[in-house]
Amino acid sequence: MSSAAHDTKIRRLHTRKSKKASLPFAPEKVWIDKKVADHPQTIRILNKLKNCDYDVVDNVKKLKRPSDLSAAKKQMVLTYHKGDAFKPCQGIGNEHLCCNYRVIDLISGCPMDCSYCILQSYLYNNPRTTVYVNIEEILSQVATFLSKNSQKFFRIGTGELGDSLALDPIVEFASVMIPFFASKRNAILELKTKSTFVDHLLDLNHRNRTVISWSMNTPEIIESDERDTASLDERLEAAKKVAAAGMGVGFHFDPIIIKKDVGEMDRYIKVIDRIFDELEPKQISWISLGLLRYPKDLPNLATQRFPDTSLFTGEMVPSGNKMRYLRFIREEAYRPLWEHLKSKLPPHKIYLCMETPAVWEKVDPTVKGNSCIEKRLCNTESINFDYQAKPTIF
Amino acid sequence: MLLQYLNVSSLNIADDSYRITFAPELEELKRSVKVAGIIQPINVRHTPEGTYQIVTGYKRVLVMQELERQSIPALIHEPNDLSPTQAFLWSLHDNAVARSLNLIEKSVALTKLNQFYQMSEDELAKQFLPLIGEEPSFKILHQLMSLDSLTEPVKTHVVKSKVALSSASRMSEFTPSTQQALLGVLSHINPSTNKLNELLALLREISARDGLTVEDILSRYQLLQVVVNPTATSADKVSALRQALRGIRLPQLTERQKQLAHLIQGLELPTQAKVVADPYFENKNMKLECQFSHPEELDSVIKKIQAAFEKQKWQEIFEWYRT
Repeated sequence: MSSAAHDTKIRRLHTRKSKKASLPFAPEKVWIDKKVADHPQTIRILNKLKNCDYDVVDNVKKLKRPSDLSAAKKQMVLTYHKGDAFKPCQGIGNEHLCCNYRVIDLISGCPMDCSYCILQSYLYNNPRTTVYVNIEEILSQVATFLSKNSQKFFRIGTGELGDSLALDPIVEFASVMIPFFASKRNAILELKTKSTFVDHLLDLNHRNRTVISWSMNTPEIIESDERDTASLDERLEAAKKVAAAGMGVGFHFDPIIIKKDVGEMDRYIKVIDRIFDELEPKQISWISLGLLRYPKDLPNLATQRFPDTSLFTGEMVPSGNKMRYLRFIREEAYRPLWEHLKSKLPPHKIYLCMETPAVWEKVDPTVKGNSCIEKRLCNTESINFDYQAKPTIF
Repeated sequence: MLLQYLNVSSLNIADDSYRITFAPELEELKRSVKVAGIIQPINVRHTPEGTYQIVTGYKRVLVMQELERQSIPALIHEPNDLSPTQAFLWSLHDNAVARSLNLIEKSVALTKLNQFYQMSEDELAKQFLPLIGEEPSFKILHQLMSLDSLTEPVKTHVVKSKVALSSASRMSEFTPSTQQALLGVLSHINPSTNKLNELLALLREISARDGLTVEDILSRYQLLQVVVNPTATSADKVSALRQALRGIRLPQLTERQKQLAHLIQGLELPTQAKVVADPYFENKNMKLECQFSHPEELDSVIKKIQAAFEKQKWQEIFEWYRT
């Protein structure tokens, strides 16, 4: 342990990382909203959790907040999502160039425990892992939207407020979503994960409308700061299975961490090489790059839980309501990664996540606006699609 | 319950089972006792071992000791009549209702309720935080309970210098020896809460990045010298310390800012004109601000800016800014 690590008190709330991601999440307690107690999805989920303690409550919003996030992560809430569970990604409308991604909220919270996870801040007051069982209603919102916007093509994901597959051995939402998107002509589903729970999906009829993506990081960061997630090798092994089943595979290098200097990008280049050792470029739908950024209160929350973490030591400066690396550091960090990726994958399959036009200009000057990234990524997938009529976006 | 004059020496002052008071101000009470004596009896608990535990009236006992008085009126409670939990709640209510508790006293109350009287965090947040004048929030509860890890001198500093909860809680994250080293710096300055939090965050981040203890950082960069200057004001010392720490924490940004300042200086702008750029170099737009009070002055300012422009100095800035 470094002297700096000695400098802060070790108030460990967690034991060192154990690779539990190959085991399904087993909540200690399940709270069931009375309104969904008889919902078929609730019953199906409870059948998967036979030995789990559960309670039906009148109003899940009135549940006492567990005293800390680690305790909250061991509890699950089954409820319904009222309102709009299908919305634009938070990157849209900011100062960034954005790929016009849309998100579906089916789960909020995550049993995994990454030091940099923004949910520590976003879900501070509501930290239990919450599952919205009214998936059919939510998908019906999606169907209506897609049908009203039939001339546009959409990339839609579920991994904004939680891992798309970490709970899937229990909730099995992916088995509902993949056939749903298989029947849609103008959208593709992306399931983002750090888990390996893909075996139950391999035989589903996906019609090339599903991409399963993995968040990628260096083995060192995975080991030190991505608790209860699959290792790099395990993620690549799962990706190979998905690719062999004919589904698209994506990778998101996000967050890319710079602790001291951009020389650390060499470690990410090795991870890129690992990907291409295991997969053919044609099997990869897209790869994104995103440097660490976070809400201003996150380091304080995270370092209380993980005193040993050194993730927040790069040169971060305020940018809107977030902190991010200095622009010229970001440019310098992206450049070798972009160039290396470009040597392996067509540039239209590579994008920066939530980056400013100024940084894009340095990395790929051909990208001039949101629609440009959107079109490139949609075209990536459209090549494989068997359309009756091509959407106008192409 | 029995009202009796007890010998002050028979009270077990070292037994702090029900004590909340920290760093009490005794002068006013002392003056009052000198004039009127003890008006309100203290409450003590007679233990099975035969000692007297102070339940309420710790400050009165201290004053009586200082004044070398022999006896004090006390309501004596037998163990069966007053449980330890009840005794602690009396002490807490007696203090919390009569005055504002300082941060350390709040921390002591909550920590004891949790550790010795098995109150859950939920009970503490919902029932006891409002009693001691705080919002019923887990964040506040955790911050207050973290102060238990402060060293005694730092606890005293927190009370005497009225350090905010957020800052005190951050200080509690450091080891005792680091807290002591920090105290060596903080005793020379009086920063605002925001500034103090920033200074603590900078130290912590440098420590995590460079694998140095805070003591190493203070010594390597001679930061104590920055704050001991007897001729500088506290605000100047805080500013100098902040600047030094930011230079260490954000070396590339600091270097860029220096370069930009140098380039802007090279424009030789009139004193009425100023170039304002994004301090973090995110936004490439720059702003030129001019002040003037009559047309001739505006004319002169424009001419000087034009002269700088013709010397290609502006171009130099734009080119540098975009690299």
